[in-house]
Amino acid sequence: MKHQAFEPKQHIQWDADYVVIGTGAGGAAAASELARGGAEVVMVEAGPWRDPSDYPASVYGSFRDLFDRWGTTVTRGKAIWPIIQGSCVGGSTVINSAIVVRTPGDIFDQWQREHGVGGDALAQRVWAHQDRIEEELFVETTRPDRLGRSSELASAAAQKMGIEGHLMRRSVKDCLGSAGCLQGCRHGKKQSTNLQWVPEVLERGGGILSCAPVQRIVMEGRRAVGVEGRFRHPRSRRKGGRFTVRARKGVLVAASSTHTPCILQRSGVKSPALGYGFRAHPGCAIPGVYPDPVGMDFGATQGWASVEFRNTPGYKLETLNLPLELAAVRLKGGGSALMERIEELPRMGVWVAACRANSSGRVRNSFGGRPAVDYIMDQPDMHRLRSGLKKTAELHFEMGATHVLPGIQGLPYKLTADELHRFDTVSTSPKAYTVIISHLFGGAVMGADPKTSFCDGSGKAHGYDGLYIADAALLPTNLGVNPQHTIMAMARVVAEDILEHNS
Amino acid sequence: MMGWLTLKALDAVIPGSDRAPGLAASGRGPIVVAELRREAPFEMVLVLNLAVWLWLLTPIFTVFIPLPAIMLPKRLRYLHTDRLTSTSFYLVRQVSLVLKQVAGIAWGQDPEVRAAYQMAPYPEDPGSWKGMS
Repeated sequence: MKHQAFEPKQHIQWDADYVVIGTGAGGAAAASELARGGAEVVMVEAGPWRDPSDYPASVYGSFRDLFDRWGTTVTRGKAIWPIIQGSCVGGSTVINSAIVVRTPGDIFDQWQREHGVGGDALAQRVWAHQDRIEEELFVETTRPDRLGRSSELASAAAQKMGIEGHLMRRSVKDCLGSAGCLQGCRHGKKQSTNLQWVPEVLERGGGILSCAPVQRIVMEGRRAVGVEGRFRHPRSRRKGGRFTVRARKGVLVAASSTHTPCILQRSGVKSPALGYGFRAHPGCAIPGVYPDPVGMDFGATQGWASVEFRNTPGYKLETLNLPLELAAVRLKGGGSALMERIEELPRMGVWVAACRANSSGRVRNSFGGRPAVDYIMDQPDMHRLRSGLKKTAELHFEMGATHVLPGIQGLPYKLTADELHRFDTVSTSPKAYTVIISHLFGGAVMGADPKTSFCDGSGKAHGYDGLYIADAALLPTNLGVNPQHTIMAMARVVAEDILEHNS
Repeated sequence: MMGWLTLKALDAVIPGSDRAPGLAASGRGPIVVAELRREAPFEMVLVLNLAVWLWLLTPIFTVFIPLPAIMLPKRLRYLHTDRLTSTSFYLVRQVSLVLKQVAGIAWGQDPEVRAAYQMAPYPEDPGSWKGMS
């Protein structure tokens, strides 16, 4: 078992059968599958390795210690929307709500129809892996006594309105309902990959470099043979010594939909599809204000969801317990007027509409090797988002909210039930909405045609040897459901195919 | 100078109420601002500085008084801050959102503020990691 964190001066040189870049949902799932198959695996992670005892308690600490560049990555286009990603061993599995949703069957049909990969054979393999993953990560349905009042209200509202809704299934063991998923769960209940699969890879003889952002993949002709970069200090961000990891059999890239394409581009890998096909589930929160306290500081961070509108018109609904700090920022304005608005916080429940957007964007390298994401939601998608927000407001009113806070430019700060119709005519300009992008897809998508896809259905890069994609970057469409489970299972499929091919 | 101005701007965003202290009274502001200016990515500090200057120099457009924001009486300073951070000019609103974010995360971690909203205080952020030397 070996772990090398920040090294200030020395050049660290390792070698292994496989190098996996990234330790999030995709990277750790692939690495553990390879290690179980008897391969020697080295994982390389840009961020530091933090255990629950190292996790921050505050949101400020979370931005500083767990988020990719303090959450400063944004989309470029008509609107500036923040892209939320983790940067630590465990990746975004450390900061997300650990939501587990099996890949819907229609997705595999869509992939087969539009991209020439997928179909029933892939569906059966993905679902079989998802069965196993659910056991490994102790997936359970959120207990009613850990739901929190906001999710209870949403669940009851959906029942009253006859809308499908369900308590979230999450990879959380004995959740305490501390609403602290964003800060990594200091209680150690969330089964993020830094607690599960990364230690397993090490126990099986593998290794990990942390605080080690990969500068480039080392290529010999059209074969990937390793990675190299320089250590980066987690706090001061100063550069340290160099590292090089040679890969005898292959390099798996699983650094996220934003970083995977950038690393490939920096490495001189060529493909007409590289960087394209970036997709997301842009989401907007609508707080509802109730006559009695709701209290977002207790309950599962996200305890309830509905996917009834996943296909038509194309959005999903879910609850979100926001920490005090972020809820205050979500409210309009500043000064004493903001303080008056903050007075309503204890009576707020925040629910989210996330759009299953068809719009796609492009990822490329920017200044200092940072990803630049060009992404604009088109008008049909903006209409979907708007209708999702209206439905969210309806649910709030169904449960007796006195008003909702739409946060849409052009609408009043507060909206009452008899003003719901105003959602129908408000602007659909992306600039009018306060959107956050948290589910990312594409950038190095899979498909049968090398002209329109970067890799094949087994994650192998078209035209290259020993180079594989094993994260959300290979997903050619979005899903309309939380993607972590699909990313993990697809990474396992990629690793399984690699083992079979190289055996 | 820039640190002092930043604190003034942040305090104007969340000045406190009868229920909870604002940033200036809480004492968290100076700590957060100093740490953030030292450790946050360059682009975040840059936009924060831009937001502070925007806040300082734009009262003429919001409350129609040709004075820097720090020279305004409290009531007008808060009104200016409210109008600036909710303006319909998209880029101005987005830049000033950074001011709100920093103010919010600094304010919300203060034990007195959390107590005012019946929330347990945060323990200290360890800031540690495996292999830390």
